Amino acid sequence: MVMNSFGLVFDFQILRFPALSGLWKRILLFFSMGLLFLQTPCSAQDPVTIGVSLGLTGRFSVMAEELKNGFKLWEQNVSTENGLLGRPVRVIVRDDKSDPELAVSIYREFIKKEQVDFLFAPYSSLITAAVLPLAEENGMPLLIAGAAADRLWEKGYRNAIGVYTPAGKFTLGFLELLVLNELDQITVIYADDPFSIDLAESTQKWIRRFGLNIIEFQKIEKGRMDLEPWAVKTRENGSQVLMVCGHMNEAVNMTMALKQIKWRPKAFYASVGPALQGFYDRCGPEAEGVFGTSLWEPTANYPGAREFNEQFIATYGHAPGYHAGLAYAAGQVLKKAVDESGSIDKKQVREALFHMDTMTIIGRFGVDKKGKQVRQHTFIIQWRNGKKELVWPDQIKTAEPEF
Amino acid sequence: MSVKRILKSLPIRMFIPVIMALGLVGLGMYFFVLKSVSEFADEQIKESVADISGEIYDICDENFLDLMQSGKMDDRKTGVVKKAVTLGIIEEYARQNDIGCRLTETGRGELLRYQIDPDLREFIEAHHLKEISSRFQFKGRKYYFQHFDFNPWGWHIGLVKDTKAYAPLIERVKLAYSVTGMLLVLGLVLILLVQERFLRKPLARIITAMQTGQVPDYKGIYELEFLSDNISEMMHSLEERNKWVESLYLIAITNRGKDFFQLVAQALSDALGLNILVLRYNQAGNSFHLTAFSGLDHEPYEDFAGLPGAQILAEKRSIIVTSGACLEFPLAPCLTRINAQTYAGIPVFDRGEVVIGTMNLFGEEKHFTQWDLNLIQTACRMVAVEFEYLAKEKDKAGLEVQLQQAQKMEAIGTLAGGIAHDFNNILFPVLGHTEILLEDIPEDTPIHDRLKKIYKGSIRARDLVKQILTFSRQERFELKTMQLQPVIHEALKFIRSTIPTTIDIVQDIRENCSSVRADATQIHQIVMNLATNAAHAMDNAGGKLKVSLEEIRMDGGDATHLDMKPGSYVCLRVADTGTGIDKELIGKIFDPFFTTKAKGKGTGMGLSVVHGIVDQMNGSIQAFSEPGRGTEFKVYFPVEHRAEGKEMIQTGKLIRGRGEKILLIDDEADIVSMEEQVLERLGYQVVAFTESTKALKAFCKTPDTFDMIITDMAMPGMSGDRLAAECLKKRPDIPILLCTGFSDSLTEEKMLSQGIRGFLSKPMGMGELAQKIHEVLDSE
Repeated sequence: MVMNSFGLVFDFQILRFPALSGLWKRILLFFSMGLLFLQTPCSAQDPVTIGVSLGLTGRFSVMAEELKNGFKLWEQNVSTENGLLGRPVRVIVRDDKSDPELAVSIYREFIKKEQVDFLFAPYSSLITAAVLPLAEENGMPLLIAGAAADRLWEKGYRNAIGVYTPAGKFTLGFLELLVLNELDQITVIYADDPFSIDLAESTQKWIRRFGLNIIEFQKIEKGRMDLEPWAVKTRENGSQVLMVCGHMNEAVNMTMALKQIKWRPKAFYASVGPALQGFYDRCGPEAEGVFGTSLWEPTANYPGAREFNEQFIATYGHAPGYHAGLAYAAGQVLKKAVDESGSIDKKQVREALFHMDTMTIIGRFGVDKKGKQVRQHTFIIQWRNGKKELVWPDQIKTAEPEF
Repeated sequence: MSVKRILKSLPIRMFIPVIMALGLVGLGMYFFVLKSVSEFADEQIKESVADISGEIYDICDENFLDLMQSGKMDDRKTGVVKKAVTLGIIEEYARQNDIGCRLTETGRGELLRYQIDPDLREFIEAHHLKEISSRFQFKGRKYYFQHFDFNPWGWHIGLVKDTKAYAPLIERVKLAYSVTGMLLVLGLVLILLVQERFLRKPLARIITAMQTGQVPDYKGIYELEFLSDNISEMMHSLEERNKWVESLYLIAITNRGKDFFQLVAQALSDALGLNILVLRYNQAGNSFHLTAFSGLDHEPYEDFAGLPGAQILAEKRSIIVTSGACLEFPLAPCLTRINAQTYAGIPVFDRGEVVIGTMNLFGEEKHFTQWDLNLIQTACRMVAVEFEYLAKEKDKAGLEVQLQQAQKMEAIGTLAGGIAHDFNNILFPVLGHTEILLEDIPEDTPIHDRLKKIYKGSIRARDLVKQILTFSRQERFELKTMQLQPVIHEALKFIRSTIPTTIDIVQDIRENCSSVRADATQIHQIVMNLATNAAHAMDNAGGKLKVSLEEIRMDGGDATHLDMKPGSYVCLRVADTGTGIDKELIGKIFDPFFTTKAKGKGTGMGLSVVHGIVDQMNGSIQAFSEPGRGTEFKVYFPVEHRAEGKEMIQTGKLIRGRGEKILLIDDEADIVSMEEQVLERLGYQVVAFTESTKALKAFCKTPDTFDMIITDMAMPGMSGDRLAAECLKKRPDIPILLCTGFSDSLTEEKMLSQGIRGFLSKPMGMGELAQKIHEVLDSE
């Protein structure tokens, strides 16, 4: 028995039908063989390939692992749900060791050699910034689910599609909380990586807009472990609020530095690190009271978020961080775009991405003409009693912020 | 190649204006469209900025309204958060619209600045524009600036938009024009190449062939091939025509007369493929004569009769028939014989636009081109010039012959005069003495009869001498009113003696004819010449010579035909029954030296002289002839009604003197003797001398004793006129009668002016002498 591309099944027993004469048998055999050739070969069954490199090892490994899990879960789910236009989906994940150059070579290989159909961006704004020119050069839309530096969208690239809110708006909710709680003396410490810088600068901007005051605005070297001097300085300059702009490491290191000097400002904000379970895992009780920005929380009740959360826990044995949610959302967006364009043609899919207004598990998706996400919203969380509480926005908060 | 030639070349003439026009249009459109696009962009940006301003104001307004409706207007913190959120929205909006935005709050300074770098901000602050919207330039870029206030929050919002959003459009327009320009240039290059390949080169090939005198043979593009073939055909045609022109030129410079006409006819026939007849019109005979022909296998003789020569002559225009010519002119054998379809009769004009001939072309059907007509006209002109040339040559030759003849005649006249003088001197005494004897001897005696015969012989001898003098034109010529009959009679008498007796002279001289103004001698010559010609026409075979004279009345029509005035004429007819004159020769008979007689028999001057004399007398002459039947000449003399002075008294009785004393002088003694006897018989006293000088002396001694002087003219020592002059000096009233045998130096008028009263030609008869003496004496 053979199945052709139209799903028709031929039983070769028919060829032994006794009522047919020899000539008719031959004719029937001829047409039957023809129909066999009409079958689309195995290419129809080839999966749609999507390449992504992640710093599975190295400094971004924690967030990268989360992203990978999110991608893979989506790969699994989308393939189960008839894939992309009926084709299975294969997400090829490579480890770039958190190295921009390696990432570039991996992506080059994806494009030139493996000729993948689509690309997901790597983790971190630093590495994404390195990869973007390559994607741009080859007209490959790059779904960015692991980078949020505003600068990624300021260079006029036409293939950088942000899945979530860029860094410029990360601190908006936290600053609102400061205003409402009359805390206006702020020290900002930021790492010298693109994401951290953009985050810090936008924070500075918003501080002014909220009518708050910056006591100190200090840059630190990326990867620096000992942040005690800056902790001390913050204590001494009379700041009520300490805002650290960086990744997980900066969040953990500053938390630990504050522990060292045994001082806590009235409010301590540590960017995106606190949104991950790993933060608490690394900081333990010191994580208590730390504010952070989360790009996704299952408690936000966006469509599919709860299912994703449950599936993720079921699959990986722990609750997903927002990075996993972002990765999964990137997959959702891609599927939606392919469905809308009815094609896997990169140009058509890109056009669909730029004009889409859809919901994912991380909220609403919609980009401006530069590809920058403008419809998704962030959350402010605070670790309270070993639990990540949603304290902003007001309408969906799970706990009142504590200072 | 000179610049001038280059400028005149086809590609330059054709394409420079096109390139210039396209260039100008292109430039004009380029700037016009660019300007339009630029203005459009400006307007769009301006509108866009205005729209964004409105939108941002609405954002502010909406958020402010939210704050108001939340009931937390008095909550500072809520207000701060709301403002911050609003700022974020404004920034996002500015980013989405790619517009620079700056927001300041009174008392708080700058709260938002997007896409406005510090320099630009300073510029805006420094030049802060009071206008709501304005345009300015900063660092080479154009910006639009619009600002407004949102007073509820004390915000001042400025929006800055540069034109870079429309730069791609303008760049695209420029690119489109550049591409269009390039395409235009490429197109022009292509056109030039095509033109070079398909126009200039073929044309150059044709022109080069023409410049080198070769026939172009271009094959290819239809139009150029058509041009080439036409030029080729034209050149062939020109060569052909040049050949004929050269041929005619050669004929013109190397031939004269008959050869010339024949060759012209031949050339024209060859050129046009038609038969040619060149006819010359003879005005005197009112007829056409064949001058030359070509294309015919034999001389056409009278075949050209029936051609419309008279019509051409009258209308002075060409007659051209291109088909059915033989039917059009059925009486023209030359056309009907060959069934000619085409006929062209072209008048040949002289310089005075008088038709002097015709060029006749005929043959198969042919349509004449302008070139054909030009060629024919040229040939006609050539023929006309040759006709005129020949006429002049003939006149010139005639004059020369006339001169020679005149000289010859003068010599003969001189001789004849001398002979006549001597002969008269001999004859005079014979005649005189015979008359004396006739008076003396009774009439019924045999001697008287013989004397009478002597007398008649003497008279005839005298007349003969007179004829000799007339012939040699030594006879004096003067027109007088006279009767023609006596002269004609006298001439006929003379002719009778000179023509064979086989010719019978029939006279019909009407005596009632009026007088005419004529000269007797010339009338005599007319009769003599016409009669002599008539006699020659009859010659040995004999015949009738009929001479008649009658007076006729000529009305307008006849007179016009003969180029005479209507009126009465005395018509002299001289007709013979001789051989007659051919029709084609009849027009030539009055030409000087035209003769059909054998050499030595005629000078060809006879009829010419007659024609001249008749003209002098305001008369006219007509010739009618029919070969084999004879010829008739009619000479018309206008009747003269005026009376001529005193009429000669003719009586049979001699007028006798009354004893008057006459001095008689003649160098001939016999004449003196005879005259002396005659005068004495007539009743005069005579004192005679043979020497004029002696006579003069005698007269001078007693001039008053003489009543009259009769003197001879030619005398040794002193001529008669000188003698007369001397005598008249002595006695001016003395009547003098001059007698001479011949005088070429004295006319009657001259003698009369000198005082000589009379003149007599010797030999004269007694009666004539008596009459003259009587007249002279009476003239006192």
